[in-house]
Amino acid sequence: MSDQPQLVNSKLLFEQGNLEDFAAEMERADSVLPRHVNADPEGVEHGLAKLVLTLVELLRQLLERQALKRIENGSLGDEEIERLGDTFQKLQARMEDLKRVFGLEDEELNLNLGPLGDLL
Amino acid sequence: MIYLYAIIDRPAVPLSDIPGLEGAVIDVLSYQNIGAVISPSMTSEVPPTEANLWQHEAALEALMDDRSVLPVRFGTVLADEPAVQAALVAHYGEFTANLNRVRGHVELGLRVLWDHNDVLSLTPDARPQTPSGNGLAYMSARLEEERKLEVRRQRAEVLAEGIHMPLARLAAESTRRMLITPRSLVAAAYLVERERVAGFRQEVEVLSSTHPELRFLCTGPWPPFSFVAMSNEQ
Repeated sequence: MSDQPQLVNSKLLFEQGNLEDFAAEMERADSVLPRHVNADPEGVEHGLAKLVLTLVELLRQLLERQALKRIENGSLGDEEIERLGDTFQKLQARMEDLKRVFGLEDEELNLNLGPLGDLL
Repeated sequence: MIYLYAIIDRPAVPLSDIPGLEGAVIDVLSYQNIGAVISPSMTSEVPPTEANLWQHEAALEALMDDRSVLPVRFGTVLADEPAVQAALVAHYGEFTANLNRVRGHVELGLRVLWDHNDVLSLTPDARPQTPSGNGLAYMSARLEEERKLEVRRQRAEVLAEGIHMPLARLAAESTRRMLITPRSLVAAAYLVERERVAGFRQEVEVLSSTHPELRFLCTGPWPPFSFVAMSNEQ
């Protein structure tokens, strides 16, 4: 269709320039969780790894936040905190390894839980 | 196969000359006082190219000129006309209720960006002393990070509410999502009476001048995509 730019412009009710910034954020939001696991042979491994690592990372963060809440409440002793911290540190290091292996960036794994953060 | 664009009211009103996807002729299948806007399709998977997406959008907008429209998501293809007819019958109540809700309204979109790093640097730096053990140090650092995030969330909540509330007052319905990315303070959609679009735009302008630190983008009018809860078509 030849009048696409005109259509796009007619949809901008109020803007302050730098539409690229908005476009970049929308793309980022879109890429946070895979809509579909890419089923072509080359993409399927990457897609599945992303999905699985996203879930593992979500669980790791959930557990970590629970531990942090308990620390804040004062319900954990120094020894327990030390042990938990050590475990989470190792988990994080392992995740870093896995991300490297599959060539995934933090951003792709939805590290920001957004509104979910309030539930944790 | 049949490509589905929208569910409309007033199906008897003749269609103005609306081109369909890939040059197909658009038609209306009616049931009682509603109709499904369709065109024949050669494929069950219409490629989501920019041209196709705009064509779908253009068809919806032409329809919106003289009737209420429930936009159907791009790429919805049904087996044949009887399948479309069956969907009209099965979801008749839902469709008419939705048509009544959106009548005379359009959707406006709002996105606001903020610089979250500014907010982070504003938080008090109450770094805990580093304890001897590795695990303790790690947990303390995490705790501090978490506190900063919480400050950021609260600040975002206040800012977003201050922007959303005056706009929501101008709308019949609204949806709002915060921080879908760290920079995206708020992404919202508003169902606004057609006559109030100019006033809404003005309010966005006022808000943007009150918040020079934020960046605003308001788009529309769109078909009411965010305000129609359609059951999955079979």
